[in-house]
Amino acid sequence: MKNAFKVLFIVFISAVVYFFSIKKDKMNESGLLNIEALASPENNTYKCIGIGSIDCPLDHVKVYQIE
Amino acid sequence: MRRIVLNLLSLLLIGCSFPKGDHYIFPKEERLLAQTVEIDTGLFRYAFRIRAQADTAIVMDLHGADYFYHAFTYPDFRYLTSFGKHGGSPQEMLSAENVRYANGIVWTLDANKSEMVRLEWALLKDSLVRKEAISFGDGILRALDFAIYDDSTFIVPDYSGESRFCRVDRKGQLLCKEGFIPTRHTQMLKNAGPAMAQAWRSFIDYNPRNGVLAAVTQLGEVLEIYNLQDSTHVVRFGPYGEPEFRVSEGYAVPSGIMGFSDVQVTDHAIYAVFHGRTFKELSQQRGELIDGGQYIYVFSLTGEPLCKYVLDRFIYGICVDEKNKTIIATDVNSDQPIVMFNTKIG
Repeated sequence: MKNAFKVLFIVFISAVVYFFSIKKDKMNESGLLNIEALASPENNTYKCIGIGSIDCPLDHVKVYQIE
Repeated sequence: MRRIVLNLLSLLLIGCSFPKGDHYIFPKEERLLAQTVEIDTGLFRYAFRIRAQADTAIVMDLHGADYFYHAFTYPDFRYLTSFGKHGGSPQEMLSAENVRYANGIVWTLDANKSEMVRLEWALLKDSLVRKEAISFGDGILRALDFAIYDDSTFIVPDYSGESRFCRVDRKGQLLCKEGFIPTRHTQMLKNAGPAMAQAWRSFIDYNPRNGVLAAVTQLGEVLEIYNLQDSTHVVRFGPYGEPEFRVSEGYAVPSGIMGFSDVQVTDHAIYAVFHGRTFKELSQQRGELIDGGQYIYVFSLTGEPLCKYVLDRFIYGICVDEKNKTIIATDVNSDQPIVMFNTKIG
């Protein structure tokens, strides 16, 4: 019985740690989006590459990729 | 001791019951093989959209050097004429976003000129004649797609972030805005609405016979269905979920995946071309760059997943011909960019 309790206790602790790590990741994800939205413009640059279907905000030409 | 063990077990069960995210799963998957339609003229740089109606078909070239649109007989695809001349004069086009073709009437959209043009066939049916031009008024931000709602109204996606669609009258004036971006990042939408709207750029189609307006996102994997007859709204997320992006200088820079590239609402179902390739994967391609999607997803008119077609080609635009049980598609990677797939529709 003691052994069973030990095993269950370890599994429980692992599950709790796993649950909170997922929650933390999700919070980081939405937090990062907001931080990026508010980031100062001078730190952000991008370039439009190739021929494709994505609307490039620089010149409104359709490009393969924006990096 | 037993009580402690039971309590721990209950807690574990609760911990395991958190939702893992709901997305559609197709009940069946089928492979389709393309048949190339041989065209004897080298017209295309980037065949993006295709429309067929009765005995004629129109193909739109997104990067057309001289003309953006080319007309052919259908289904044998003999060349008829080209229209939508690329240029800066008042009757020419700066860009082309889409084309609508119904009852012998063609509508084109030029986002860079904020203009839609109506054309009709000449008497001998050897050319298309420009009949009407509509310039968008204030309140319409860079229309990148459109659908015909009725004789006097158009539907245009909204890029302000305030709503999802604009209804526009025959004079190009905004009638109303409706819908909302169904994002889970509501704070982001509040802080950077236009960037969010760019990232949620969607291709749309409307079928007036059943009142269904479908929108699919170019990034991520989201299908929205607005039934304009009963005012219902359904949102379906695929495994890739919402569009992913970062904001740079107020604009959305895509990350994550390329999602959908075309959608069609027929009388019985919704068809959408899906890419599902990450931008990382695209940038790591070596040699010839492959562009397009290898899947056609079929949903019911209420958004239930019906079938996933896996193609032997990467395609962009589709035109579903339910009567002849075929899907015509455009393949931007080939010098012969028009292909056909036989299906078992209906």
